[in-house]
Amino acid sequence: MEKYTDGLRQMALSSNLPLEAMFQDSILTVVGHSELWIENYKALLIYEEDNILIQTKTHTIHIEGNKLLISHYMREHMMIRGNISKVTYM
Amino acid sequence: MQALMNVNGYVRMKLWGNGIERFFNLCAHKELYLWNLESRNKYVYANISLKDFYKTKKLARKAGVRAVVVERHGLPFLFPKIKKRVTFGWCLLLFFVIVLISSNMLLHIEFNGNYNISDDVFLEFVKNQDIHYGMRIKNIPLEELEKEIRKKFDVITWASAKIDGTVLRIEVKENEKPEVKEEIIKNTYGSSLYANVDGIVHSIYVRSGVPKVKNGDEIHKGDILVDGLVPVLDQQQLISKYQCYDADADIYVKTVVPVSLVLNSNYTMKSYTGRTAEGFYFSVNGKIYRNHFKEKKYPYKEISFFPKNRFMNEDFPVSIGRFETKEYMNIEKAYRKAEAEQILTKEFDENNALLLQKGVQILEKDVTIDIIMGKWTLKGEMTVIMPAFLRKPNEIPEVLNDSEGI
Repeated sequence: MEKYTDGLRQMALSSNLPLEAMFQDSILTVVGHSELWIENYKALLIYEEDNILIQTKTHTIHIEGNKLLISHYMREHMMIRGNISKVTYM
Repeated sequence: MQALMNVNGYVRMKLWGNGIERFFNLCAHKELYLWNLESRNKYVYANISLKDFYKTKKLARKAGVRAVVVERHGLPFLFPKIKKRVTFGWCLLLFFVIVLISSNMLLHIEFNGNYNISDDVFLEFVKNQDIHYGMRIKNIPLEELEKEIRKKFDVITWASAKIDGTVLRIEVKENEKPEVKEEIIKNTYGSSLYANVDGIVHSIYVRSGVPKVKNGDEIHKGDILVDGLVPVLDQQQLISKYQCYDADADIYVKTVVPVSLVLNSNYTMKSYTGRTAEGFYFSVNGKIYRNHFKEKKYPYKEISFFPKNRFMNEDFPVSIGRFETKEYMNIEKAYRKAEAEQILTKEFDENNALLLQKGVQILEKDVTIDIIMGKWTLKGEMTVIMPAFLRKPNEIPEVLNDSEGI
């Protein structure tokens, strides 16, 4: 199954098709180190002042920083503001 | 978005418990919009619209989270406060209604550029055109008004009328060099000056015409003073024709003028009983509405109005204020001699001041104050020097019909 998905991904890459539409990959838009947009996420796992863990379909994204604040929280996207120091894919 | 939330209302809630993240996920799943999430000291604060807040009750229980409202924002939270103040609510509504109505009414008229014609004259003219305070702005015939202004006032060369909010602004331009109308009427035979009082000529200075009297001459009413017909003599020293002029002269006559002032011996005085009634009144277009239940039994009353249009224009057709009614009785009283003398002397002095303004010089006063026929009377004579002449058109003798007119 994984091989099949990898094959499809390779095909999409070679044909310049949008990956987020085909595999529901999440989109991260970072503005400097103070603003971060996440689209196509699945769930919020941990929310603390200096630590946010977000589950997407393929990965878990770990955001570290301080005074982290979720400006908008909706089903499709969320916006995080604060002093972002590290974004990790796990 | 924020403005919409302010209209619909939103709350800031404080959340605590083990499943806060789960609660947020459940909210997202139910498509409830949250914003400004902030984690602080094991509590999480979040904004949510009022409508969505009621839906979170079940979700909070499901996630094992407790939620309390810490702040309320928006219009729905403002209205219950207004609901409790019924009078305030009605007054607010009344205020908006008055503003709405008055915004369609003419509240002020302004004039610009008029130097020779005063504002009062203009205002009177505008009122005669059926334009008055309080009328609907749409009904003001601006173009007709401009035409009428130009027609009525010759000195105005340009006029413009426009509406600026609730103000009618009239701008005019006056002719800087007004045309001097010729006062002399052509094809007439001029005019002469005649005495209108008996007396002695004090001074005479003739600018036009033939003087018939000199200083010190005694004159009687109807005597000719300056003749407008100037005779032209022929070679036999006979009058062949007349040249006609409008006689013009400064003539001062010393004469005696009778003086008589009468004052009733009794007068009516108001004696206030001390009974008063107060209240508030409401006036619309000059018609006053007030409660006069208390003062119904007063036979004579004096009403004073104290308008309180502190925030309104004086011309505003609606006004409110306080009134005070005082009851009084009419008492008949007789003037004492000193009082009567004071009043009559004051009136006499005022009349003299008016005469002085008219160029009359008072030389001598001989008056007495006494009761005549039950009335206080100031009687006597004054010797004065005054301009005293009457202008009459010239009559041409029939034999000299070929006289030259002016």
